[in-house]
Amino acid sequence: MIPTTSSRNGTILIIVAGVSSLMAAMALTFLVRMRSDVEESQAVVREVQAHIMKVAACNFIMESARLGWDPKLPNGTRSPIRREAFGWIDVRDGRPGPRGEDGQRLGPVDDTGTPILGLDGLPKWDPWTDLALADVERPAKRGLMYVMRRPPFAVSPRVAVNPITTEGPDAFKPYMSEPDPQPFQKGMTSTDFAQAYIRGNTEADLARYVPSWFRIWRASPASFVITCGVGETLGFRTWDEVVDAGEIARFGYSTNDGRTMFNFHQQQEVRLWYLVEWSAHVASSDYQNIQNEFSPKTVETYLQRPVNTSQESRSQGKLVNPVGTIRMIQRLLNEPRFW
Amino acid sequence: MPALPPIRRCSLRQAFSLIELMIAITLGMLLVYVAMAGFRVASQSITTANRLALENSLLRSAFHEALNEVDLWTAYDDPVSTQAADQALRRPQMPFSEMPATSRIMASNPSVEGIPFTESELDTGWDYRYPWPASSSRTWWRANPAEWHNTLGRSGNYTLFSGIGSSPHPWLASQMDMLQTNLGYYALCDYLPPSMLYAYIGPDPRQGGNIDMLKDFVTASNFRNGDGGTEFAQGRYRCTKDTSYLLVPLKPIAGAGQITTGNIRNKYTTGVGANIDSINGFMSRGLSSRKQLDQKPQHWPEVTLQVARFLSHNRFVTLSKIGFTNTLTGQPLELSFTAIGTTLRGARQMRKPGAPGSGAGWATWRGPNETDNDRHLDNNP
Repeated sequence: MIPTTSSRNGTILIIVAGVSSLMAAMALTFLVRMRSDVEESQAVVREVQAHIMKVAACNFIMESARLGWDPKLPNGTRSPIRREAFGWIDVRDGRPGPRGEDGQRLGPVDDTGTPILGLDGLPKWDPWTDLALADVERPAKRGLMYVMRRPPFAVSPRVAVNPITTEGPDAFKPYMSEPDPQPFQKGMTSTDFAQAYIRGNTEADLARYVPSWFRIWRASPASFVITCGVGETLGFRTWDEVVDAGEIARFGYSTNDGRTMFNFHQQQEVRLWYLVEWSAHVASSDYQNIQNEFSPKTVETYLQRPVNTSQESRSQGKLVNPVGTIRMIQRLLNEPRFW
Repeated sequence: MPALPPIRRCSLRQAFSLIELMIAITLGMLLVYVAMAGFRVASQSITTANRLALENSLLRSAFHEALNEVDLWTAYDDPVSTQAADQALRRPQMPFSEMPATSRIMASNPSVEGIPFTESELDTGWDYRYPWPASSSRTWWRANPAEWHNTLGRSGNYTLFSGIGSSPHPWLASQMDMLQTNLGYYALCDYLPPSMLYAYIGPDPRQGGNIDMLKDFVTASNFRNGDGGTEFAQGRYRCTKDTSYLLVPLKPIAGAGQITTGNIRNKYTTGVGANIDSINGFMSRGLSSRKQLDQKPQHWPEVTLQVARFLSHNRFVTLSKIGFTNTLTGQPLELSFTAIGTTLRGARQMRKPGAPGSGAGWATWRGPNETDNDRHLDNNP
């Protein structure tokens, strides 16, 4: 057997080790570069999310000008009573809202759904809507915008609930045999079904979790300070708010741990502030509201074509907007005193 | 027997045979080639990764800048600049001119339960705190919407009650007239509620002194959409159907000479009836052009951010266009998007008053009842 020289083994080892280390260095550089890119992209994603929160908060303001004031009983269930508001500035008399159809304030209720009265003998406001409170005492409305497993009142994305069959005795007959749209979940008893449909499953969908939130602070009857945030403070402004809300456990096992973690999250998150103004006015339904002019005089001049019509149907305007509009948005470059 | 000389086995290993040498050289060359190819590919990969990373970084920068622009409007007015050209839209009858001071009584702050606002039909100036409550009769348009502009009021001349001047209900007409005169059409629609019908009594330029509920706002151009010869009172959708009204930025593609009161009030055909010339004219005046990172190295790819703000089909559009060159193929690419952000009124409330070039700066708002809030363009006591 011819002995091999050890010098050759060493050469190959050096070459292999060199190439390997080179590849490892390049891979490491690449990974570091990718990580850096991803981190920078995350900052952009958070900024975009914050801007999306601005739109979400505006939608909340508009919808809550009319909806969402059904009494919520202390035990968490919903009262069968339905209440509708008439705007942040009541369209009937100009007083600050929200007020019900009877003109009374909409706010907290007792176990029976009866409004809780204040010292003045009138129904109390929800504190965040109460303009009688001093600015420093008026709380903000906090909205968590994480993706839920199934939001309340979720409907099925199924498009054709009642497809028209092409065979059999019912062929080509457009039966509406199933309610359309359908609730998202099926297979429950009617009682469970209703509750599940109403309540949904509000746990966070961790696969799509983004810690987005907004806060709304009422500045005047129709203007609001919106805080758009992306971060793990969950919209709490201070640690005291966390304690008051009984949410310490979200941030740590003890008060000290939680405070430290809260402060850490506070420094990491993105926050944007806006001043917005709501208005009850909605878009006019004036498009072709008459047949151009009086001549020829044979046509009815008060007939309308709705906005965005796809056909020349003559009817009254069909613009439907029961919740008002956001008239003004102003970015606040500084942190306002109240939010 | 004499001893044989020892076999010099080692001498057999002191040289290569030709075959060994050729194989060794071949393998060596192969190894070197593979190593070189590996280095080359690795080098190219790193270069590509660097270029893409740079491109991504520039795109992020431009996107961040675009989002900022949506809220800050610095392409239209740079409040901290001391260059008059950076505040050119503060000139009279421009969108960032100061709201004229008036001697009117400001609306009172609403009480919680009582009559919320102190109002008078004789109020004339703009009150930035007044929310135009729908219940207030002075925000109601008082006329017959089916009346043609030059009829004799055959359906009942309700317009007599909504004109400017000596009319008993001049407030709404005064607001319209003041806004379009001072700020232009885009601002007219931004400031007034979306339900507005843009009409009031005033001198008819075509009929001399006769009253006309469809007074043309300016003689060269007007806010009415002429589609179908319609000459009745029109709302925002009807006035902007197929036509657009834009804000000319500080640096439009066609040059700063486009910043005129006429161009801001011009009616641009951008829907049915539009052609390449009308679209080009619209974009060259309405689209700003700003290069990103003026001090960047020459070999970095070019990234531009263009913004345009206009009103069309009842929509306020904030258009952002990020343009860049693909660093690998050289292909020009564009990323366009619209966003919801600060409105014109909000942008004006973000700025301290001051003449062009004054560098007045940003106005700070601290709270609704704070006494140290800064004055802004709509807050002239």
